[in-house]
This record gives sequence, structure tokens and C-alpha cells, in this order.
Amino acid sequence: MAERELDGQSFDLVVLGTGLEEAIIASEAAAAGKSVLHIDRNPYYGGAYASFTLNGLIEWAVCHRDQRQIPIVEILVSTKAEGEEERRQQLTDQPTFVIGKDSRGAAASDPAEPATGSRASEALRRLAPFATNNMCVDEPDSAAKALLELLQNDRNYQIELAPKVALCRGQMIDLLIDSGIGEYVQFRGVEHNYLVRDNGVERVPESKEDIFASTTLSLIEKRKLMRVITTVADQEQSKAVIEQAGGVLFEKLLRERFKLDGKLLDAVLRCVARVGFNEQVDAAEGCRRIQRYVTSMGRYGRMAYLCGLYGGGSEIAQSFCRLCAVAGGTYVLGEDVSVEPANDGAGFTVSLGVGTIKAARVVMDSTYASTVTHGHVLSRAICILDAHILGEDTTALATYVGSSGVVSMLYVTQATMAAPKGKSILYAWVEGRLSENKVLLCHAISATRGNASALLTLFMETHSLVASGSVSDDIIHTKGPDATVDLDSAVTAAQSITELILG
Amino acid sequence: MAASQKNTSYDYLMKLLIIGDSGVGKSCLLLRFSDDQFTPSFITTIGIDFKIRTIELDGKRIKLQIWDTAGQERFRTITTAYYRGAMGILLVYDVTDERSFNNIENWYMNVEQHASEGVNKILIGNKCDVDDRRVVTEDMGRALADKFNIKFKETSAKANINVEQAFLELASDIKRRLLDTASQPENVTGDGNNVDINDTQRSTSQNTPCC
Repeated sequence: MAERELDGQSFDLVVLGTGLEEAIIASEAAAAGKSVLHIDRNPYYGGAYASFTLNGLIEWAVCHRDQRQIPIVEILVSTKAEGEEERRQQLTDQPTFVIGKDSRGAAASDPAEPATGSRASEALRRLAPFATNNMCVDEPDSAAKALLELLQNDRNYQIELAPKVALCRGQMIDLLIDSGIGEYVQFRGVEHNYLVRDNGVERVPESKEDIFASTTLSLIEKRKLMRVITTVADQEQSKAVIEQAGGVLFEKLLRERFKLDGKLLDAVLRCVARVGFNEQVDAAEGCRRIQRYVTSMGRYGRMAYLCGLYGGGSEIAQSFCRLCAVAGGTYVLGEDVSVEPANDGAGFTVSLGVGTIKAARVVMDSTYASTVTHGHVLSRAICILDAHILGEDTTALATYVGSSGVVSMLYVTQATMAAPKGKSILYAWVEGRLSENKVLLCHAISATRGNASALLTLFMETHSLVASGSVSDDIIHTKGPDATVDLDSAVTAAQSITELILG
Repeated sequence: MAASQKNTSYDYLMKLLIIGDSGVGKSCLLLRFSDDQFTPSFITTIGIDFKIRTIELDGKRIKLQIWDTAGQERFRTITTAYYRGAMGILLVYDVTDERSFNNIENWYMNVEQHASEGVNKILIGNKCDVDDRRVVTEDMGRALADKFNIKFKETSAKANINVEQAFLELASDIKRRLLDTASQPENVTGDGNNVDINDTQRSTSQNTPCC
């Protein structure tokens, strides 16, 4: 790279961060004829939406665990060798095995297989920062073996920091089609939607045909669900229902008007309308969500959601970046960057390794802001499993409904190039702090995974940051991924910023 | 590499990539091959996404979809998504620019890291018509190609030397690897279960036999 190659240049727009929102904004600005410089401090694309190979994920966790945007990261590696009994155990917040601080020496000094020994010790060395004394177990050899086995298929993993899917009739799919980048991204259907409770996993019947064909529903239950489908899911019919109901909560409407309770209520309220545990959703909004789901079915086959291949959010963000580049946008990754108001009072001065640049406008993801306050907190778990759980070569959404909370889950396999053959990944996330939600996440994973073992589980707490007291109010900040399962909130957020810039 | 269901004007679709340093003539090679054009005034790549040309190989019509770097090679910010599903890659250097030749090693490593395993590659020394400023000899190019165990061609997009041959040779290597052998391609694009979001007429998902 030529030194200071961009020095002295001016851009209409400088965007910091290559997450989904920033990528959409950059591509739309470039398409509108603006000169765009798009920068990321990381050497990879995607920001909070990034996806990694397994090794990359561990490296990312090591790099980021002390940074303010990811306050907590824990990685648990379970050994599979000794005792099948242990493997069947419930995953709890005290896992069967965690790498201890003392593990390093033992693995490094394995004389039998120097090559293996050094790779194992390297892997353990990377994980060492995650070890905590109270969870230390003295089985470094089997941990090293387990890790090595996992890392053998490293490049076949695409693990996402913020897994999300696209609603078939949602804004993201429409935007991809309108931008002409349908060619860039490949999708697979999200074949199933599951309701997970402590007593089992059940498929959510999504269509009239599903309900009709169901063998687990009683006749009365089928009738109740049919009523929901024919009224709530119908735009015209639902108007009358909503008018009658007034401002009543959607849950109350389902309980009282449609006599739903138990698993039927959970399926409709949590799995289809995706109402959160403490979320207050009124009848009108609830009906709108059901309709959004139902109208999405049938656009590309029977499924309501699509899942991107190779880690969807990151690939889509990269596609928008490519679109921006095709329209003339310039990309710089892996450079620290700082933004100051320009001396002459117009625009900004952006400093980075390849030069000092003038920018008329600046958009940044909030992790680039000088001072931030913490906004929404999300707790996430990424669990790599040694077998398929919700079907082979499929992709599925699942919702765990427990007594203390509701957890969103996405299950991915080789079908979306997310995991090697025979392995699967279960993502689980919930709003709130990890200290209060880790047990809930563990319950959700345990209830879903059946007999499969969790080979490696990563827990993290992510914060959407809100910038405060930034260099100038003229800098526009993006929000980062939220708790919703689909990508549409990112599109909405990006488009309102784009309007502001191009308006 | 499944045949398209909606378009019967070709039998197979192949995705090819061109990579290499800025200024080695990637876009010129692409435009020469796709449109038989040469534009000397190209400074950096703006506006080229990919180009299409359908060729015939052993009686099969093969649609080549050839992707340009969109200028993202300039600061080495090519997206990993760019490499997805690529079946063949042209690694291009400029015979008058030693640095571009030395950088091939880095590009090769990127390919190994991000492209699917076994992807076909060809090394291209472009601008071979320029004799007076040549610094990379044909032997040096061939030696590097031998080291990677890949094919090699010197080309000139300007004088239209070997451009056609380079693309066709890569395409026939891919055809041999993916179509003529019984082994199943591991990482194919156009898997029948994938959803083409531009194709809303699509009915339910169905398994298309590969190749």
C-alpha cells in the first residue's frame, strides 16, 4: 500500500465501521453519486455483524474481551473423551470443563507429538485468558485434544457475532433486489420454526396445511389455530378484531378472544409474532407482526425467512460494500482512525495511516465515538454441537419459552456453509445482562440440543452504544445489531440516515 | 454449478475471478475478453462489477461470469464474500512491474485462505507487448507458476495476445475438474436448494442434480 496515498483528498462522506447499517449507507450514498471513503479499524468487514472461522472467533474473542464494546466473553470447551455420562449432563453455567490457567504448561510439554503438542498449546494459550479460577478443571490434555479436533475443520465454520435472518417479504430482501445485488448473496430457506420448552421441542405449524397435517395437535387446538390464521393473519378481518379490542395487549387478545393458552399461545405469541418476555405489544402491532410473517410465506417456497450462506449478516454487509466500491467508493481496513471538526469550521478532518482527509459528512458506528453511554444490553451464546439437533442440513429458528424468560435461537448447519458436515451451531440470545441471563441461555440450549454435546460454547455480552458528547452533533451514529431475529431493523435505521445525508 | 432452470441459453454457469495489484490490467483483460474492447485510459476500476460471456467447450455452452475486484484490491480490502463460489481464478501481474509480480504470492495466499478448496487457478503476466520496460521475464513467471503448480500465460489486453486462450484454458480446466470427473464438487454455487431472491416465481425448493 502506498504511504499516505489518500492524503489531502476530500470526500463527501466518510463512514467508519463496516457493519450492516454503515455498509447500506455507504452503498446508497455512492450510488447517489457521492464520493465515499469507508473505513474499518478491524482488518475484516462486518463490525458487530462480522463472521469468523472458529480460529478467527477465538482470536477475535482474545482481542476484544477487554475492549469496551464487548465487556464479557467466556469460552467453554467440553471434553468428550471420558464418560458418556458427563456428556449427557445438562449444560449449566458451571460447565463440565473449562480450561484452567494451569493447563498451558501441561499441554505445551507433551513430548509424544511435538507438532500436535505445539498446536494444542497454541490453542490453549489463546484460550487461557478466558479461564477463571473457580471453574478450573485439571484435564488439559483432553481439552487440547477436543480443541484440536474442532480446529481441524476450522475453515468450514462461519460463526456470526450477530446472527440474523431475512424475512422473505421484508425490507432487506426488497433492498437487495432493488440494489441489484441479489447476485452477490446466496440464501437458503429457514425450513422450520420451533417452540422449545423445558418439556420438549415442537415444530410450530405455520400454514393451514401444517395445522391440518399436524399429529400433535388436538382437533380443538387445530380449530383455534385456524381461527387465528383466518382472522388475525388476514388484513381485512383483523381490522374489525383490532377495533373491537381497542388498545388491549396482543397477549390478552389471544387469550381471551381466541382462547389460546399453553403451547398454542407460546407458538403464536413468541414464535410467530416474536413478542419478547417483557415486551408490551398491543393488538394492532401483534396482528401486524403475524401478517408480516404470513405474507412472507409463499414468496420463495413455504418458508417465511431466508438465511444467508457463509454467515448472512456479514456477507450482506460485504455485498453492500462491494456495491459501494463498484460505484467508486474507496475502502480502507485495519487502520486506526480519528475524526476532528475541520479547522475552517466546515466538515471534518479524518486522520488515518493512508493520509489526512477532509470529509463533508461523517457516519460512524458508535464504537468509534469518543464518549459513549451504554444502551441496550444483549446476552449471547454461540454453541458448537457435535451432531445435528433440529434436522440434518437444515436451518431453523427456535424460541425457548421458560418461566423466567424467552430466548431467541437460530440453528445452522452445513446447509448454509456455517458448520462442517455433521456439526451444527446453535445461537441463543436474549436482552439483558449476561450475569442475569446466563442460566437462562444454558437452559435454552440444554432444552434444544437433545442428546448432542456442546463442544464449545461462547458466551458474550454485547452493548449497543449510544454516543454522547461526540466531537460534533453533525456526526451521525449507527446503532448496531438489536435483539430482533431479522435484518429489517438495520435497513430501517440505515435508510433514515441515508435520507438525512442525501435529503 | 447446476444448470439454470429458468434460462436455457447455456448448459453451465462458471464463476471466475480476476485478482492482482492495481494497474496490472485486470479490467482491461476482462473487457478484452468479454467485449473485445481496449480502453487505455483506465485509471482505477469504477463501475465494473462482473461481465458475462458464453463460450462453447466440447459442445457445451458455458456461461462465464467473470468478476472484477471493483477497485478493492487497492488497499487490500477485497471482501471475503468475493471469493465465495468461485470456480476459477486468474492471478494477474504486470511484466513491467516487479512489485506486482512479487505480490502474487500474497494474492495466492488470500485465494488459498478464502476460496473453496481445489479452485482452478492460472497465473497471468499481462502487458507482454511492452518490450522496452519489461522487468519480469517469461521464465520467472513460469517458475512461479510451477511453484504453485498452476498454469501460466503471458498476455496483452492491448495487443490482444493470449487473452482468449487464458480464459478458455481456465474454463476447460474447471470443466475437467467439475464436470468430466465423477467426483462431486464440494462447494458448488447454484445449489438447487439455494434461493435466488430475484426469482420470486420460484415454487417450492427442489433438488437439482448437480452438473
